[in-house]
Amino acid sequence: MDVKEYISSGIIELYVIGSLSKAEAMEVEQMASAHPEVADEVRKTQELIDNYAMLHRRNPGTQVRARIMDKIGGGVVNEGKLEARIRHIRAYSAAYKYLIAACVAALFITTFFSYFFFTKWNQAETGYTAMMKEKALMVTNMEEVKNDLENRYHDLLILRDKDNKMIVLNAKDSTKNFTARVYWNSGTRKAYIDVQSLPMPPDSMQYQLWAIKGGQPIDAGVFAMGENMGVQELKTVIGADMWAVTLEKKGGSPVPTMDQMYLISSPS
Amino acid sequence: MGRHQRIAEPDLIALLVERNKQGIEILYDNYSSALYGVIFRIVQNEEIAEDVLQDAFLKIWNNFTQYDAAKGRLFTWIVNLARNLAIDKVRSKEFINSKKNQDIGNIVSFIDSGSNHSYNPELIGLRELVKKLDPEHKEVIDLLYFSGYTQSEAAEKLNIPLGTVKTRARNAIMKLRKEFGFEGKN
Repeated sequence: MDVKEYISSGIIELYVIGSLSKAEAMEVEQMASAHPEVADEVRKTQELIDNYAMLHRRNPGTQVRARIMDKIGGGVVNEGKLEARIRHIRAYSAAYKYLIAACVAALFITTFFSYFFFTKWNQAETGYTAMMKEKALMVTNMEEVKNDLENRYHDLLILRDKDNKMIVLNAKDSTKNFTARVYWNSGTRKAYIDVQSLPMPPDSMQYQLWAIKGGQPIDAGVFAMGENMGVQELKTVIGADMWAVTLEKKGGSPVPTMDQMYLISSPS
Repeated sequence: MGRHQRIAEPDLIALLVERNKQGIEILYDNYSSALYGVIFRIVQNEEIAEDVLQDAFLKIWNNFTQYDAAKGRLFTWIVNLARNLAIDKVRSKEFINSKKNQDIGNIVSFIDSGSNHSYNPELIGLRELVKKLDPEHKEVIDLLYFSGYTQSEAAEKLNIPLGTVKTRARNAIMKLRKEFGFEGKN
């Protein structure tokens, strides 16, 4: 069908006015989608009819608006914006919720590790202190052992020295078991004493060794008493016929107190 | 028309699609008098016209997804929707019984010139021009448009051949177009 003829047939006007059957109306719509001129004609006619309808304007009662809006309901005012805002707030609060949860978790974890490492450190510190004490003790012990060993070695040197002469001193009071040994070096003329058994003197007193030469006592020096004293080097004396030990006041005395004689050797 | 709000048609359509109540409020403020005018023109009773207007707005609100912008302007759709509701009302049994078969001729010849008309400067000149239409052209348009007559019903009513209904409708609109200067305006 010729488009111009179709347009001028009046069917578009009837279509726009709404007087065509559904089948006829569909035909017009098909024509309009196929031919832009028809579509344009439809649009112009619609506008004209719209304006014609506009001519009949009349205001409904003032209460009608409220009645209709009431029927429509009020739940959708600014729904979009409000929902968007709520989503926004929810998103934020969710984010904060996670953030706070993460912070709390981090706090717990760090607190746990702080406590854990503090405990470990404390244990290590305690262990370290104990170890240092132990080490100090061991060093002391070793020093002692070393000193002891040196002393024994020194004693051994004296005992093994061929120039050293050994003299045994026994208790003057034969009922006692007191005994000691004196070494005298014929080369250096040094006197040594190695106490085996003597009673511990009071603090104010000290044992003193005497070399008796030609009936005259010569001071050979005071010596200390105690455990592991070993061989003690005393004074240098020119020689002796006999050796004796007396208990004197601390520091020794120039002449022996005869009634306090504890040990005496046999004359050589 | 104090409440008339300026809004671009795509924006108004967007509001209605997302069922934003602002959309239906703007639609009411801008077009209720036009829809009510058409409805009243058909049902000739204020109370019934207001009921039909309410039905029209509820239908627009609830069935807005049926509007196809490709097929025509928003106003064309809502005015046809309101017109069809009004015609359905007029043709309903209860209406016919209450009106006791009111003479169609009275409706057709009715030209509303009531004081209730909205003032619209754009249309004042148009109103004057409508009066220039041949009575027989106007009669056809009103019969088809406001009474919802099919062309054959109109032909029968006016006692003219079917082809003449078509020709008169066409001529009436061509005349309107010429007189109103719509040709080439779009």
